[in-house]
Amino acid sequence: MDMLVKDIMKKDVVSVKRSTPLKELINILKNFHTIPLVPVVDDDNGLIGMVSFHNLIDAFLPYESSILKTIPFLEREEIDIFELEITPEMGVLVLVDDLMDTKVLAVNEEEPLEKVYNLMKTHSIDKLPVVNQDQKLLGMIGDFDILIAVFRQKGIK
Amino acid sequence: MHFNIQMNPLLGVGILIIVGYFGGMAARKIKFPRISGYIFIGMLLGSSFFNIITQELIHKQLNIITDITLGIIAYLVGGSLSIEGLKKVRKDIAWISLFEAFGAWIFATSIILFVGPFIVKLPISPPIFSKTYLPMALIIGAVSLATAPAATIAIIREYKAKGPLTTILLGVVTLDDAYAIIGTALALSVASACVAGMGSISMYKMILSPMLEIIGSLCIGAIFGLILMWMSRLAYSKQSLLAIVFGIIMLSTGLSKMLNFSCLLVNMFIGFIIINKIGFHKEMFTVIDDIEDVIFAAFFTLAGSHLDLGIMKVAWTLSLLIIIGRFSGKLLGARIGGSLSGAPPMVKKYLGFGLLPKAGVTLGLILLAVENPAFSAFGEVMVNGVLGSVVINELIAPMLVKFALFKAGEITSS
Repeated sequence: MDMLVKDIMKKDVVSVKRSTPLKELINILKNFHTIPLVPVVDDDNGLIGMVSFHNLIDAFLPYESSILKTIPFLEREEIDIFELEITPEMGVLVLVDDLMDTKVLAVNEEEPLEKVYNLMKTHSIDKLPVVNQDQKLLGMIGDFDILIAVFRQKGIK
Repeated sequence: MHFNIQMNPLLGVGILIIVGYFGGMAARKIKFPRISGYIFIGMLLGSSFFNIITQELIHKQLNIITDITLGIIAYLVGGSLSIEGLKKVRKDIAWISLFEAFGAWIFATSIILFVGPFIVKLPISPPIFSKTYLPMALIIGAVSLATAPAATIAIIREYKAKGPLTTILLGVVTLDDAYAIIGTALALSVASACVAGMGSISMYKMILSPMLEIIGSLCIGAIFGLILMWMSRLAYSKQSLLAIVFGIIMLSTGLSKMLNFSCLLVNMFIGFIIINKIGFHKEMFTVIDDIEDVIFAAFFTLAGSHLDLGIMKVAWTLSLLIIIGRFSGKLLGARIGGSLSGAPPMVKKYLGFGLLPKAGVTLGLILLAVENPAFSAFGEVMVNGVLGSVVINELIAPMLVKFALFKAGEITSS
């Protein structure tokens, strides 16, 4: 039988609110062992956005970088994170609302793992939030979780 | 030195990519955009120097490279037009971009219309104004809308420029390519009608025919956009998504050419549908990155090989008119747009200088235009005129961008 997302997803998820200040977000992120991807939820736990490593960088570039992403022939340049324009007061003035991506790819808990794994490969993502029919956040699932599940299903327990 | 090699198209493409690639690398070494290197190498490969890429090859078999590239450019530019993003465009950026773009169009068109017949000689005699100078002026005016942000952004990055001028400049350059694509699609349609009109241009040909072309193109774009949306769900990896996206761009470009619709508008509308209809759309555009380099190297090297020194002897006057018209239009348009939107004095005064670089989209659009056999009477002069203006622009425009940012006090480090 096909394994589903709900069978292996991590239910213990760290999430933040729109109103969470940058300072608090940084304190949350520093406890992650891997590259962090944090869901943003409303008061009813509805998924409204995501904050990632890239959002933290983009928000502090001296110019708006997102508008340049679709310009043809533009030579991509490595961003120097040591040149980001950050001041101490931004810790309380900048909120998650200013940083988060609102275009979010999420999967339903009833999806089969193979479909979710293909989705991750197609979009070059290694983690996805899991939601129910009402878009409420239920958990997170990563490509590594799927790999472990495959090993287990093949008898390595 | 001329080589008389029996060239086949595939050998030509291979040479364009490999030799062009080294040109791009060399350009980067001396801090020029890669595009400049591709164009320079293309010139050497073309008929005026080594004649490795012959005129026959350029005009008959390698046209497909232009079509592929323009399809991709139009799709990417359509992908920058998110309704959500456009709603957030600041009032001053919207006004300035509108005025500087259309300023360039009006000035470049006018100067070619009124001065061109006296100083630009066309290879037919006598040239009928409504079938030569008029359509040529309309097309060149439209391609003059485009701005190449690569040089501007390189300077902003290098000098860590920041301030109102930098912010508005970046906002404006991103809109210019969209204006240029829409403008060129319109201009090509009207220009075809002008050439087809036997002496007197009928109302039908002037208005109804372009309108039908635009509506038809948007319909095909919408259909292919929806097909792409549906098919993207079938992708099981990044490579399979690339196959789907690239395949749809080729299909829609080929079909629109077959049905005489605008492949520019069709692909731009596909990009527009994707950005606005798919919630998580990033990969739908970034997936092109994997093939972008190879296609652009082939395309710009091919563009450079269009240079014909024999025609350039005539076309240099046209290059001059294009530069004068475009520069005046951009400078004055930015000033008027800035005044109307209440932009700071430094922005009004210097923004136009930041909008002068042009290269990629301009060349793409003009090469697409010249594919149309209806424009054969002036096509080569037009391409060489624009090519000449691009080369001169590459040399002087970056200095003017630096000047503008320096005068506006937005360059802080030396």
